[in-house]
Amino acid sequence: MIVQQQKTKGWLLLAAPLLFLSLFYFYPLLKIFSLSFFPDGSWTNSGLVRFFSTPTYLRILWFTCWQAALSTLLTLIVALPGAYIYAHYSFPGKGLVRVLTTIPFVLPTVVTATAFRALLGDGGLVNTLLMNLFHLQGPPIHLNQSIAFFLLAHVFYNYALVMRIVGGYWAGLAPELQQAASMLGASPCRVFTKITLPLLMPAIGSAALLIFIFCFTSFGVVLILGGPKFATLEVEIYRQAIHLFNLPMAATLSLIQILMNFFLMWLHARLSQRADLSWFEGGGSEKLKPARTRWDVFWITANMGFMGILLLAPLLALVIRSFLGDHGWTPAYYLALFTQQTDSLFFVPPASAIFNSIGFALATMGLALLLGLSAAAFIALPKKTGAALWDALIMLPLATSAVTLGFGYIITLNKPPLNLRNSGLLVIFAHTLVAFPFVIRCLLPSLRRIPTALREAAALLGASPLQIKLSIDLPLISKALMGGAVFAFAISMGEFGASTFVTRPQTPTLPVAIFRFLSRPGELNYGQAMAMSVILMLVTSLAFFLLEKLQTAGRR
Amino acid sequence: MTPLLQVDKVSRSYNETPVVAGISFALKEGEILCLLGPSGSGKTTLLRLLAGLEQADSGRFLFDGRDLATIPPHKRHFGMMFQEYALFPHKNVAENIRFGLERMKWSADRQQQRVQKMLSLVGLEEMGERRIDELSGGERQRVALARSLAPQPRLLLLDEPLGSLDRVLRDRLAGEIRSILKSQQVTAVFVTHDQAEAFAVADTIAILRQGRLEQIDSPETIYRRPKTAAVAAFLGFRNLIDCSRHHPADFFYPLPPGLKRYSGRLLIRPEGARISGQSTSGIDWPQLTGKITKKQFQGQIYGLEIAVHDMQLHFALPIDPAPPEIGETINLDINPQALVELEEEK
Repeated sequence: MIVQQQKTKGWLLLAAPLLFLSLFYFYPLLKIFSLSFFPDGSWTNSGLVRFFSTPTYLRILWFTCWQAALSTLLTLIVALPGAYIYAHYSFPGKGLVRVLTTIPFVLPTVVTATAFRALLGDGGLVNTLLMNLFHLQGPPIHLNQSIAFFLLAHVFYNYALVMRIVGGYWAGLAPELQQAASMLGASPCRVFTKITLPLLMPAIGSAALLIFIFCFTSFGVVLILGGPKFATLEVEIYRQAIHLFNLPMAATLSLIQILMNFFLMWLHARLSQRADLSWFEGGGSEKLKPARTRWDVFWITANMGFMGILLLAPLLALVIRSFLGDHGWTPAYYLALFTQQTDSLFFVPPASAIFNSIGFALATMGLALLLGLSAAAFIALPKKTGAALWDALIMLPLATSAVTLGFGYIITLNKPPLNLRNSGLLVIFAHTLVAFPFVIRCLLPSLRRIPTALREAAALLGASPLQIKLSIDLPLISKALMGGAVFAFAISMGEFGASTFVTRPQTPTLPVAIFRFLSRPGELNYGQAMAMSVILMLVTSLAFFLLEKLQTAGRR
Repeated sequence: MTPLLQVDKVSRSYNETPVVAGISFALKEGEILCLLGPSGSGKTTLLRLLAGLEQADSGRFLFDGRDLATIPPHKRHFGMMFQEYALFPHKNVAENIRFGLERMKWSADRQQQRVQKMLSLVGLEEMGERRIDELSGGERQRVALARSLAPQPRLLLLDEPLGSLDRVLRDRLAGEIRSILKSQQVTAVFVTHDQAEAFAVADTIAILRQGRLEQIDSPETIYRRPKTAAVAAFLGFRNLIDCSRHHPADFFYPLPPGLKRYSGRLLIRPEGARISGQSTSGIDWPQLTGKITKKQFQGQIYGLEIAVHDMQLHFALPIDPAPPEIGETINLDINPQALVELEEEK
């Protein structure tokens, strides 16, 4: 009886997340599928045929792949030494480095893209500086609309990822393994190639695949930094759907994108299953060595200096540029955000986007926590058969690009039976879909870490199941819950791909507003994009700052 | 014969705290030395200094007459067995054992033969293809031993090699390690905190305490004649009489002549007592009288606790004849050999 009851309760936990997924994930996905194969109600594979017979599309696919591969390779080359240093040395300023590595996780793509334009774009800080210094007529560095520009942004994004995944894994490698090899007569070089590298391979492979996936679905960065010359699949879906209104082609592209992503995510899941990898917690080793020789000091300074410049310079440039007008320092761009101009892009003062975004983000946070918590509680139930399957199913949205989701939403949810086009709910649902797999990822490890014995002990001491949940489970996962909440908030604040489809003109979110400003000419528009990016950056960093404070406060 | 290894006033500190403080000793070829001490006594650090995994602040190691200071670990041709074995998880058993052979420029055949020989030496003939994570604790220990022995190291260093095994397995493997090391005529330094293990494996035991060498002797001498109260306490001896507080005459009658003017610490080894009136006692054995406060039958012996003055003394008596009941008075004859005068601590 009791067992039966518990089983039913378990399934009840899953009901809400499943319903949500079916309505706001599988339904749009199915529609994309049918739009591609049944555009007029009868079967046709003309979309696929057209895709594979049109050189332009094949070029896009090829370009998407090789830019992702190149980004991955570049990032690994640059970041692996950093990972080694981070994992093995203690040095002054390491705390700062740790904070720096969280920046890319926090920073919306739109802000990053804007920041890189502020630093290295034609009208960017470096060019302006060089022009003034050497009295040049035009900007000496031409990165605008070049591959190098968004490759750089990709390296920026993923440097910290390598440092965290590989660095954390490296720090966790028992030093005795290398010492044992050395005692068996292996030279340092042989120790590295025969022992260290093979042991690191799962971490490096996992990091590489993740980078590849991120770059493969890169949208905001390519759109803003690459310009019209370059299109990844993701950008092309957007273009086909929004600019050319060729919905069947957009659907076909989405389908290909989904398949590629599923394959990559499956590969990643297999890889990280074998190695015990974690994304956000670096396994700290206690025996860090201080820099002893001059060579050590040089290495550390060079690497960490590079990292500092890579991660900080664009952000600094962004802030400076947002205050820099034609005639020196000015708060004009910020002030302009709060006034409604006659020729404005918006029907409301641009600053309202700030409040829209925060509102959407809070709603997303609530919904994502609710769904994430119940799904995670279900998956973490002890002795659950098929937990892995449900886990994978619920993680599917992570493997689907945001642009595809957004596209799916506008072709399904803007007409009966589900007409949500004008309610604003669409934005919240889209953001929740992207955010709640992250919430689950945050919650699951700590839920699973609670020993069953604790619950049993509480039950034997007379606690009811509800009391156990409230007094044992909840306090033990509170940190993870806070982490999940902040991630959900930040993801919603920065979400761009799906938002370009589902935000209504009168209630833009910050990233959408920034993109609109950027795509218009004129110094004021450009400046306002910078100012808004700064505000967006501040809001998300504030959220993470609060998280850090709350979590350390709980530790005392 | 000149010793193979000479350790000369070696010191090492971490953050100003001395961990190894001026240790010197020598080791003959083929000898098994055990570094025995409680945790934090510096024994593992000393071993790692020997291996070259850490650098000494001062002092030197001479091996075969050569100073080791400038030789990096991988060129010392020493073997080392780590506490958690440090087996390479991405290689199978045979590949682990072969790792140290690859630099020897042997033919593949010869390598293979050596691996097989090592496998049979540790009794794992059929296990060459096994993955490391399929092995039990005891099997891992054997693979680690085979791996460190395979390249015929000039000196084998073992860091608590039995530390993570359970008691029963430990006792069995300790004896086995000794016979394997002896059969290979290896010179070895063995670190442990367990005296039983040290007694089972070592030719010579060096007792370390707070980074200093307290005593270095054969196992038998260490047990029979511990030098200081610290060594005695570490070996588990509890009957330590401070003769500056109690005169020996308060305990023994007749008083052994050597103790008349003794005012240091005196150890009574627990197995040196017999119930008075037995023919096994010597004629001139001093007698000790006390009240039994605890009596425990432990199989091979009786564990007895006796109150004498304000002290509790512990003895291990043969089970025949059975001692009197708790609360009764008992007379014991003490073997003078079991009375050990301890040196003052430095």
